[in-house]
Amino acid sequence: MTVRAPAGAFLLVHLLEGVDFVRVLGIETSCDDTGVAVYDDERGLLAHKLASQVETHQPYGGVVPELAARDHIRLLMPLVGAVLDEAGGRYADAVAYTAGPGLAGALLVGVALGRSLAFGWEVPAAGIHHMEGHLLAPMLEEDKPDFPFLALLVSGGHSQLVDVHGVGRYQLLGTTRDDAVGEAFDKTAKLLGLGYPGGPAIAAAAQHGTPERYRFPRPMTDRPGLDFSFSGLKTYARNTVAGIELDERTIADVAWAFQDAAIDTLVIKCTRALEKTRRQRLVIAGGVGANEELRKRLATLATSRGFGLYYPRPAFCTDNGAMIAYAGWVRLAGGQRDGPGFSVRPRWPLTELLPID
Amino acid sequence: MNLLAIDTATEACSVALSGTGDTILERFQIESRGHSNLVLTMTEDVLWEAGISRHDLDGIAFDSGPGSFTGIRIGLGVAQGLALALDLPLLGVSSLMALAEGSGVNAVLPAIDARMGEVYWGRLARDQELAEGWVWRDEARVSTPAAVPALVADEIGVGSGWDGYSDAFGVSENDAQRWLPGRCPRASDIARIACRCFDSGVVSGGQIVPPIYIRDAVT
Repeated sequence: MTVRAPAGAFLLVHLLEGVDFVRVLGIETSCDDTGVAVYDDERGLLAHKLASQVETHQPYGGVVPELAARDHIRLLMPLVGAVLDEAGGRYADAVAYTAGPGLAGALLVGVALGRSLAFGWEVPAAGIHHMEGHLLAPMLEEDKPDFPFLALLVSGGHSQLVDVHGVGRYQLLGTTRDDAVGEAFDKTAKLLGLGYPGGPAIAAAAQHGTPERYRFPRPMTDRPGLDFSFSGLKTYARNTVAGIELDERTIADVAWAFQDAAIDTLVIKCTRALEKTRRQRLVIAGGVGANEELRKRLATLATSRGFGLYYPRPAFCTDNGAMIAYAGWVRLAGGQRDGPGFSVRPRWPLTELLPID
Repeated sequence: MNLLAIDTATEACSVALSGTGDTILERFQIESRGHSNLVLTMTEDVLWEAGISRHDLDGIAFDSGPGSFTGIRIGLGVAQGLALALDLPLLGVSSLMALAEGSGVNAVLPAIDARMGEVYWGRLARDQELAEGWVWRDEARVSTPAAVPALVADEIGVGSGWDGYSDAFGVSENDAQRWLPGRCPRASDIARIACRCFDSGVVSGGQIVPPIYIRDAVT
C-alpha cells in the first residue's frame, strides 16, 4: 500500500531538507490507549501496536487520569522498542506525537518521550492534533477519500461534524452541547451494570433486545442545526429503569432503545450535513465509528443517496499510533517543526490548525 | 564519564553534565510549571558549553522521585527518549538522596512537600562502602509531618517538606544547626550520585527504570 500526501508538500520537504524523509514514528497517549506505529512514505505502515488500559480503568467505570498517565509511562518505552524492531531498526527520520486535545498528564508522557527521541536522533519532531489524526486515519486504507469530504468524529471525548476542505482546512459544523456520544454509551452501560467500555457492551446487549419495546427521544433532531446533545439519553435511560427490576431482558431492551436513539440521531445529523454541504463523501472516525449498527445504517443511506462512505479499519477507528504517524508525516512534509521546548494542549480547537497546501 | 543528569521532579528544573574530574556543568531554574519547555533547551546548553555532542554521552540519570507525579514522568520520559535514541544506560536516583547529597553533611532527614498535609521523607547517612554513597536509615515513605521521627543528634533537615511545615517539625529560621532552608533536589547532585554508581559498575545498563511515586492512593 502506498499513501502519499499532496505532491506539493512532498516535494517541498525534499527540496528544503535535501534528505530522504521516509520513516515517521507516531506516538499516541492522549487518553487510555498507548499507541505506537511507524509509517513509511513508500511502503505504508511498517508496524503498529496498541497497549490498552481497559483493565486499569474498568473498576472505576471511566478513565482515571493519574492512573492513565502511570500506565502510559510504564507501557510506552517497551512499546516503542517493539514497534521500531518490527519496523526493521531502532531509528526514524522524524517523530510525531499527539500534543492534544486530551488528558494533560497522559499527553505529556508521549510528548516528552517522543520529543526527546527526536532530540537524541537529531531529527524533526511535530506535535499532532488528536482529532486530525482521526480525520486522516481513512487515508491509511486502500479505499481512501479525496478532499473535500464531510467527517463525523464520534468517540468517548468528541461528537463533531466537520467539513474537511483539505489538511488543516476544517470547518466545524456541529458539536455536542454536553456529553460526547461515546460518553453517553459509557454512562448508560454503567447504569445498566454492563461494564466498561460501554460502546461494545451496549452493542452486545442490544443484539438480544426487543425492538421498539422502549422508544427513546432523538435529541435535538426536532429543530434545525447540526449540534448534538447526548446527556438527556442517559437520563432517559435512568428514568426508564427507575423502579423496575433490572433483569437481563430489560437490560437488553433498554440497551437496544438507547443505541437505536443514539445511532439514529447521528444518522439524521449526517444526512442534514450532507444536504447542507452537498459533499459527496462521508468519513466516519473515532471509537463509536466501530459500532456495527451505525455502519449498517449509514451504508444503507449511502446506497440510497449515492454518496461515498469511508471508514478506517476498526483498529484505527479507536485511538492508535498509526493515525498519528500518518498525520505527522503529512505535517512534517508540510514543514511543521517543533522546537526543543515541548508542551501539551489539553484543549485545542481543531479549527485552530494551520492549513497545509 | 560524560553523564547527563535531569531533574524535573520538584519545583526546580535542572540539567547537569559531568565530564572528566569533578567539574559539573549545570542549568538550574525554579519554575513550578513549564519544566517541559526548559529541559531539552538546558540539555542543549550544557552540551554546547562542554563542547561535546550528544553522541559523546556515556549514560543518563534522572530524578525518579518522590515528588510531583507529572514532574517525575517528564524526567523519566525525557531520560528514556534520550537513552533509547542514543543507546545509553539509564539510572534513576531518589529525590531524597539528591537532597542529602546537596546538604554537604553526613546524616540527613530530607522531606519533600507531598501536598494534602503530608510529606515524602526518608533518613539517609553517608556510607562510602555503598556505590551510591548513602545508606537508607529509613526508606522513603509518605506521612504527616507529625509522624516523622525527631532528628537524631547529628542529623539535619532539608527540603520543601521542612520549608512548608517548619512549625510541625519544630524548627525556625535561626535553627541552622538542624535545618537547611530553601533547598530543592538538583541535577548536579543526581550526577554525583549516578557517576559513583556507574563507576562502581552497579548499573544494569537497562533502559526500563520505574518511577518512585511512593503515594499510590490516587483514586
